[in-house]
Amino acid sequence: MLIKRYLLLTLVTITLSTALVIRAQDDLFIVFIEGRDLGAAETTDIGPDGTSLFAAMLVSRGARVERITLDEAIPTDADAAVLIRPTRRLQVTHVARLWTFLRSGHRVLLAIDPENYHLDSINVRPGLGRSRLATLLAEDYGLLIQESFLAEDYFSTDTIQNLSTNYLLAQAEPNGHPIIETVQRYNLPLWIWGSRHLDVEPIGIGSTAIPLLYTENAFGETDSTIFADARDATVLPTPLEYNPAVDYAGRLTIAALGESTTNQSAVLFLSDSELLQNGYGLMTDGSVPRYPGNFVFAQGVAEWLLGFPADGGFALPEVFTWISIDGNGADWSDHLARQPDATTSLPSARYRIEQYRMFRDDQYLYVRIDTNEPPDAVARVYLRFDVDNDGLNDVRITVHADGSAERTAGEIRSFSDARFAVGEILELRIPLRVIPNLQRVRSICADFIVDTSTEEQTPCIRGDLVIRQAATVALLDARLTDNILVTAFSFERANLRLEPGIEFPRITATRNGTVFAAIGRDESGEWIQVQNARFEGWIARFLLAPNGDVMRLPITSPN
Amino acid sequence: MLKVRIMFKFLCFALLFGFLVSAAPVALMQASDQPFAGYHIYFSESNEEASPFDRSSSGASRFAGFLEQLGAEVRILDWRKDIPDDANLVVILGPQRDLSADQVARLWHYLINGGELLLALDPLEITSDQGTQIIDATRALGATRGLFQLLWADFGIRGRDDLLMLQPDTGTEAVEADVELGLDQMLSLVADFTTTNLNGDAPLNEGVDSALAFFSTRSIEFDATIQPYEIVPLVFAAEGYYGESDYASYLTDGLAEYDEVADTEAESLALAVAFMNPSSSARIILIGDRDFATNGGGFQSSPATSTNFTYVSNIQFLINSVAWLMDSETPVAIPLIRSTPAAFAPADLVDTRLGKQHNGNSNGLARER
Repeated sequence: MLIKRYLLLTLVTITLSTALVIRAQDDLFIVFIEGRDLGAAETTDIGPDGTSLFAAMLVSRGARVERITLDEAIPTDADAAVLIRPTRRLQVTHVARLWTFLRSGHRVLLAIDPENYHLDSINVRPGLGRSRLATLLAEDYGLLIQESFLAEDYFSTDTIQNLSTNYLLAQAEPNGHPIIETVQRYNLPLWIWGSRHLDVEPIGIGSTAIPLLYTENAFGETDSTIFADARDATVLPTPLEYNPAVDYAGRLTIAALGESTTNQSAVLFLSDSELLQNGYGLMTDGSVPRYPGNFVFAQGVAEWLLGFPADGGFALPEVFTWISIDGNGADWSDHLARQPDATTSLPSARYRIEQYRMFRDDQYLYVRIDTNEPPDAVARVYLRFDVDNDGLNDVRITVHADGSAERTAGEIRSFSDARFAVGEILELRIPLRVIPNLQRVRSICADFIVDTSTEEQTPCIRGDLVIRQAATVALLDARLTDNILVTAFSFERANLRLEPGIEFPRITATRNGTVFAAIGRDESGEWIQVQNARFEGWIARFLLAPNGDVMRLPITSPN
Repeated sequence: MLKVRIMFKFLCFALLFGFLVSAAPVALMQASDQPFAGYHIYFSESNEEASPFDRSSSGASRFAGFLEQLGAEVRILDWRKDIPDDANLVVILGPQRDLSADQVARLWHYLINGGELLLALDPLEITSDQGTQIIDATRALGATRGLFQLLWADFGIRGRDDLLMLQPDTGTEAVEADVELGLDQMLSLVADFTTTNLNGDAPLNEGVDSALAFFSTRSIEFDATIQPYEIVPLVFAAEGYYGESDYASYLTDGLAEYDEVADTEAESLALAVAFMNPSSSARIILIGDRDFATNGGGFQSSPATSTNFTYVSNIQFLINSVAWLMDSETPVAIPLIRSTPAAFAPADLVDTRLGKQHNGNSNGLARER
């Protein structure tokens, strides 16, 4: 099984290396700092802890990648140095060599996990504070790295001891920095597995700094004894709990860039090394990156290491649906455009629907509406569906301008993960679980906010409106952002059932690694009610790796 | 035992008196020019090094004063940022605790990029608590860690973890001291000495024509085979001095014995070494003794308030060192005129205390306190 997994990773590495646009980057030379004394992640490791995929990203861009140790000076002809997940303490000599390279005008990428963080059979102890690297980064680059561990409120002492149950989501800062511009544009969440945080001083003597990633859902636990001691099982970890006197809260930065104003040097600091490791941030399902946000972020990091070559941005993997719900239609394909067969808009109406485009991928229905002129605002959009193909409108979905939405099909149900944006066009994204048997769209109508003194008729498009089935994969699952998350872990597929119990019908069988938001449980906690953009149902608890205490979920079982 | 103490005090007093009457008049002369004009010399103070503003016997205000008279601008190093681009020399005189990792990093960056460093060591960390002297065996700048780990690996120089002592005449006989003697007294008996054993081929020693005084020193280890660097030993201890590694227990128990396994063999032990990297122009001078450059050590005068400096060669050696490190014009004349005979005869201190005659060109000395 292990060999098979490695072979697959090798294949993926090669595939990703060659699938991306190859650009010649003459003389670009990146060194990865490795070696036993630091216990850092290695580029030759194609397993989950390795960085072979990230190195492949650099190689695919024409860079030369070499492994070095800090027993000797970092080659001065290297353009950048990378140190990912040191598990052992940084020594004085390590820091001196790293600093000498950095201050000579180079770029350095550091991805360093929290102190005492548990990783398999070892406690990660990079000793960032003791090594005084943190002091240097604070003084010269405005990066104030904190000794903290980010935990969501529902994390428990048990769940943080294992990487498979220790993950949360981060977002890109809306500052448009090239490293995160794409992540931000598509509002992609990033997955992190055990992170510290850092404060950023935006300007100081000799430096500027900019935050790149953050989370607002977690608090920063400052007690590193929350982790089990890998060397002494008799030492019980301290309970994980938020202490307002000493712990951090609010918007916590996870990644930041510090740049010198006196030379060309810059440090990119990631508080979580798994962001760039094969089996975590760069995990793939087949050849499809499991976490698009992480994948795109890693590409941004790679481009930064290479100095953002002048020939433009990086190629986005075609496997994903690159639609941003922002009211800008530039990311829609022209061939999706459809002219309405009929419209009820009156000729005198201010707005008319000129055309629509609509398609679905594996998780969402995407709708674009073009009007005769860009509307100032829109009150809501209605879509009527014929879900059983009998020619009748069975379901009506209303999406409001603030993004809230509800479905009316006998009963009214609200859902929070629809998106609606008004700009040059109207754009909607509706999770497919709301329309389980999507067959036909019978009409699309839009209420425009106009002068209330006039009677404005709602313009609609009616008929058998075409829904194209795209082969692409959705970029994100917005349902996951504010919940306890559960990951299906099973050698076989885990069955998602209509109700909690094996006697109930199976909705689907989920593949290993599928992530759901946990929204409820039965009384015993043996069944968890889960949801993502595509499905909603129940999965047996033993098939799930939750990132929190599921007994804190509300009891939602009808029984 | 009381008698011994009284006798020792008497001896010291007599020696001091004899020294005072024998010292020739010294007159300070203004430097005819200022060869260090436009140079910036940064002293480190943050690890309790000898400070250029400290006018006490443990300070380096006299050394700094000479540098200023020669035109240099003396500044204090701010370790919170990189060593300034305008630094022509960094001086670190005997830190009392290890340079922190961030300081090592900044210093290393400076050296790799062609910096110049004058580094003096202190073999012992001796603090005083309400009159009780405390010896800390964990000295600053250990040979196998921190800065010396880097300097040894990449440049081939470091200070050994030892304290130079006079080897007994026989290999089996221990050097025995009276444990009830004060710490200073014991040190001065065996570890303070002068030497004229200089590398005559080193231009840097030009003008150093009398004995150099050392006041408890570590030996310097160097590997001149490391390429492409150039390492030149400048000063050696006299024959018979070995590097005692277990100096702390000697100071506690009053017993020292040469251990051929642990101690540094008494074989032309280097006390000062010059390093140069021709490609980067980095230069380092490493001296095994902090007090070589302090007011009460190498820069002591008699009377203490006069410019009647006792060890002119120490001053000349340090000024030559600074000039070489900064690649200034050499030789640089000391801005004073003096002619001072040796303070006292070699046999007066060392051998009297040990009850043996020691022939050689290393003389027991006393530090000003």
